[in-house]
Amino acid sequence: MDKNEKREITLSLNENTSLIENEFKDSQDIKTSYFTFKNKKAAAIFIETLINEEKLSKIIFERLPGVENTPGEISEVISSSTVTTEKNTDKIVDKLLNAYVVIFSEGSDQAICFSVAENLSRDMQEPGNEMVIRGAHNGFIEDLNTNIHLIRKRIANKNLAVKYFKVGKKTNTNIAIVYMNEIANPSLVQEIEKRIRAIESDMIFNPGYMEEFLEDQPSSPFPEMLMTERPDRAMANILDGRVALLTADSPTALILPSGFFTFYQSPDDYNSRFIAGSFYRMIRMFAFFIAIFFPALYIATISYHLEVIPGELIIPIKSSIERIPYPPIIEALIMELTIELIREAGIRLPSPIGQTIGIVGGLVIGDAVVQAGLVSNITIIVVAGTAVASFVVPSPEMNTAVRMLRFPFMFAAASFGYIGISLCFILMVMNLCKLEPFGSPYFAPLAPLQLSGLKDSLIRFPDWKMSKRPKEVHPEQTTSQGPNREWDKNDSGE
Amino acid sequence: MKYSIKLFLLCLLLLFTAGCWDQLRLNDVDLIYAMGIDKTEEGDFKATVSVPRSTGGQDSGQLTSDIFSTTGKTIRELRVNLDNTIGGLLDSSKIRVILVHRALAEEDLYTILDSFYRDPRAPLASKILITEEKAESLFQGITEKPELISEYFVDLVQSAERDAIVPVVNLQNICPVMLDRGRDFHLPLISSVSSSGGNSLVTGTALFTGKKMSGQLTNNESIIANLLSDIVSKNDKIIMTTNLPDNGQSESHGYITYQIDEYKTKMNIIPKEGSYEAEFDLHLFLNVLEYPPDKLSEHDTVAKLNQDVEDDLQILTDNTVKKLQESGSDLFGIRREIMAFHNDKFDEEEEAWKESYAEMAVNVNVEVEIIHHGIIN
Amino acid sequence: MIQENKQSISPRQFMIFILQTQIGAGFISLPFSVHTSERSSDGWITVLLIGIIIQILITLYSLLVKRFPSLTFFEIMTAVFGKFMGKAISAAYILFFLLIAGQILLVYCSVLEVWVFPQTPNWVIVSSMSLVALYLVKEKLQIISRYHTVICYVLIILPVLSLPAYANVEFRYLLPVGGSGVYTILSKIPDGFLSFIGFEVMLFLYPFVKGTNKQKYLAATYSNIFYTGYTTYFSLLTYIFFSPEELMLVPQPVLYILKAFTFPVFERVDILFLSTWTVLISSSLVSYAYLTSLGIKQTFGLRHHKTAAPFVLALCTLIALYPRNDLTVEKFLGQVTNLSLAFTIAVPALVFLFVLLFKKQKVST
Repeated sequence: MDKNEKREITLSLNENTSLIENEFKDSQDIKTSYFTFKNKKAAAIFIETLINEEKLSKIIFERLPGVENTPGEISEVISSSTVTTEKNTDKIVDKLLNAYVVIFSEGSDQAICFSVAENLSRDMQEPGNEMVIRGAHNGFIEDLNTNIHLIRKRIANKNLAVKYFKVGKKTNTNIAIVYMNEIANPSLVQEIEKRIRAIESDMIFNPGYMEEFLEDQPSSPFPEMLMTERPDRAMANILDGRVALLTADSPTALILPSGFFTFYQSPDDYNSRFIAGSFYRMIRMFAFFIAIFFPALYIATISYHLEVIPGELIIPIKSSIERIPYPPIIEALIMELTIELIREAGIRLPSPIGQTIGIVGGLVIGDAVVQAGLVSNITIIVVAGTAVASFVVPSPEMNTAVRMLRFPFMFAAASFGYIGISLCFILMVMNLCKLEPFGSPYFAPLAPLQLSGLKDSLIRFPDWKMSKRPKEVHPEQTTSQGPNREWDKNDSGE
Repeated sequence: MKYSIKLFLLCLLLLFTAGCWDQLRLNDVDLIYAMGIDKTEEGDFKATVSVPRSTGGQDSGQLTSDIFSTTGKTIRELRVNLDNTIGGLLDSSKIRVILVHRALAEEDLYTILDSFYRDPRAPLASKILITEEKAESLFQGITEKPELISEYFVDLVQSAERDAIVPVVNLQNICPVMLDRGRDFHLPLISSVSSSGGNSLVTGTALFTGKKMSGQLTNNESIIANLLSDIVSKNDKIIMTTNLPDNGQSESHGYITYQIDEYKTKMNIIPKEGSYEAEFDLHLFLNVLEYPPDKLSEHDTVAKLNQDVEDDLQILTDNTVKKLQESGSDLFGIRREIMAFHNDKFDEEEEAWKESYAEMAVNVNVEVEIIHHGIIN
Repeated sequence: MIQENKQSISPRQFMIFILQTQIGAGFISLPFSVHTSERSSDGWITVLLIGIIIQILITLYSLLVKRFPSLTFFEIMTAVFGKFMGKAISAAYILFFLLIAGQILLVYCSVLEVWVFPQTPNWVIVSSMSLVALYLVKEKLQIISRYHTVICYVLIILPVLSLPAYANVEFRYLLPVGGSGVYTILSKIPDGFLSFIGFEVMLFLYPFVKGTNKQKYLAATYSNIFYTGYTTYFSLLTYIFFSPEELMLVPQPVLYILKAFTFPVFERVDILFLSTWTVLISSSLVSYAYLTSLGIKQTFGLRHHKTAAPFVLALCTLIALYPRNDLTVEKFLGQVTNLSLAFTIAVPALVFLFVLLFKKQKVST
């Protein structure tokens, strides 16, 4: 067989079936089932492992006897909305791989294709890594259609655009970008499309993989895209003019472009009263600083600037570290690494054992290490406080970034004391200012300063006050709501 | 990519430089908490320091204070000598209190403090006290050993501060005043209870003229001086007792104790034919704490008590002012006031000013008013 | 990519850029440099006067650059004086900026050496700062302005830290106002001038600012008002805290004030202040290093200022390491002061006169 011949199917049934079977020659899960329809021989080809056989027989085989005498083609018998006809072999192969059933009939050079996908996906559950107290408790699952369904259901608007792409030269993974027409900036969408098309990888493993192919500054410690498994978070960001990128078989949506403060917004903020919401927002920012600075400050203070410790406190601290043989940096590193070990071990182990590891690691090691005089109990307090603070961030990616960032700070503190911390801080702020994922400044609304944006960054204003979309994503429509609570003004006049 | 390599190199550089210079680890140092400075017979300085040390492990906080002393030509040399005497690295950045013997203060206080002002790590917030006896004997004489010797002295001063006997000052506060021609300062003065050493108590304040100590005030006089300088805070509890003149009211046991609740003070400099006169108005509002004869709701009694207390305080005040003038200590900043508002006395020699200050007419007009008398009449 | 003109900044960013360039190394010793006499502390009047002089200069500058709306001062030189002369003057400016950047590093290093790191080698202190600055100098003007904006929030910390000083102040040190004599007050102006330079970035950034001439002028004015107010505040505070006699002994009075305070959790505020000040220094250094690189780019026709940046910072480091002791530092600073008077007052004024006389005016392209 030469190649040109192969492109199109022929009138002969046997040739066609063997043609397709040849394409999948080593796959034993490709099945062909022959039947006769109006005395013509026909064959249905499908990949057994992708389709739902029960559905298939309902759609076609069970109906065949009843329609034997009515006029019409096979395609009219099939009760499915996805029926198409194909001639091209490559396309047919493609369909087969996407859980379609392909029917050839004798004397026809058109293959009838329809989808009988087996939907083996789990139930929607609350994503364990993004818990909220109140608010929707469903999350994305490993199915693209369901995920888009979840977003669509939340945004009943014709302007919600969904665009599909296939990436991965070998895996042919489906991905979709979802955004609001007339809100999201068209040039942003174009840029994203351009970058998606430029992916030349054989496979797309998961959204993190996608992120690395699309992001601007891979060397920055900060994540440039928000990953979320929460449809409500995705929806809110889409309405801010951002673009959500969904990958087939992954419950994670990438929100791009994301700014630094996006990572600190949790749906919970908007469910609580705005004062409480602001308070917890500030707690989170405070936690950011603690997680980064606390061990560094400890190291710098103990080894360079002991005069800053208050007089009443210095004696207890001194007696606590008096007999520790290691310099504070080593001491802190030992504990920080122990905590990272415990964390990593806890994730990998099944949850009952995971908890045990937490207790063994946290209590036993912590206590024993102090008893043995390897680490001072002040260090334990510092490291424990840091660990708690670093898990406050409502995004696992930012959480990792924060935990990574503290190590350079610790080294800087060990070499130059507070000045070293300052220098490191300068570098960090410079990096935050430099980042411009998809042309939207990462550190907005702080830099460049946008007063309207500040309403939803460090603190949270009442919802009806936030009538401007974040400027840094350059949305087409800048206002998100008209004047609210007009009745309030009328009342107060009387 | 290039950036990340550079960043990596920078981090590497940081790693290698770690722990090279200027490190002063808390485990290595011995902290001086209190320092006493005396003068030896040869004219050298003698320092006595208290270094708290914890015994026992991380959990048990047993504290003892070790006392060391040594001599030297300068204060900095003293520290070096001390460093050689004891094991660890001595660190003076946590000194809480400095005791200076009277004899040294009378020579020149700034000489002693210069090294503290010059050192970037020096504790400028520490307290400074002048001692009647040798500082060393005060250190040794504390009978009930407190955990920290420094705390003993700090508590002593702080309680005197709350009673408005001594001004709230630290090493830094006195420096501008010490170098200022226009104003002088006073410091807490302590001495031991018995002549053989032993526990200390605040006996008043040491008056300074410029950098030298030139006199002293008793507790009550210092209170009046503080009131006149308007540096008493609202929270201070000033309690005084007046001996009432016996005027036939035999049932009175002769004393009244009161608290000064509020006060107003005003300084007025009046130029007069080439010289100046200072006038003070001191208005005190009293709360009677103890007065057995009672009847404080009667107008006559109150008016009479007002008058009696006023007379008594007037005498005290006049004495105080006289002492100040004799010692040449311009506590109220009269010269500063003249300089500021009359643009005069800038270039007057120190001696000439001292003379004109001693001769200056300083009138204080004390007024007293009982405003409360507790929950019974 | 959402493309805007990457080389343009808003008037607000322009204002912050000028401000951050001004708040540099000289700030913590300004009250000492302009301290008048032992009679009374009138230095704050000098500070205000410098502020007024700078306002006049800003007006002059804006009248000058208005005629060449699309050119930086480097290019204006070439346009006015012809290629050779223009390049020569530009080169002089480049050297001047290099010196200023070096001076910032020098002061930074000497203050750190005296206050916290007596044993750390100077080259470590200086080069670590240069390396950090290099990371940003290579970037676009917009990103540098963004950094300056963030750093601006740091400015709030310093007055807050200074609040405990009010427990122990003596307002009479300021009296009689003008007691040190008009001549003394005026004669201190050059000494304080060095702490104020930075406003001349206006000449060089003008074409990059998006906005009307009036907006740009106002931005520079606000920045000047803020900086003058800020420094006057700190000068006044030092003058009422230290007696005139003591101030003679304290070269970094703003820092020294904080040494005496204790907060319950943090006993020594001066170290906190120094760390904060390091951040401010970085922004000032970045500004000057950027201007120098920009000058080299425009004068010698480089494609990108990025290429020049590492060399500029390396030179700054060398300049900062050159003086050996405190006295040579003083001498160096004195010379930089004279140069800054020449380059910020004399040369622009001459150029302005020249332009007025010969009516040289390039039509904006």
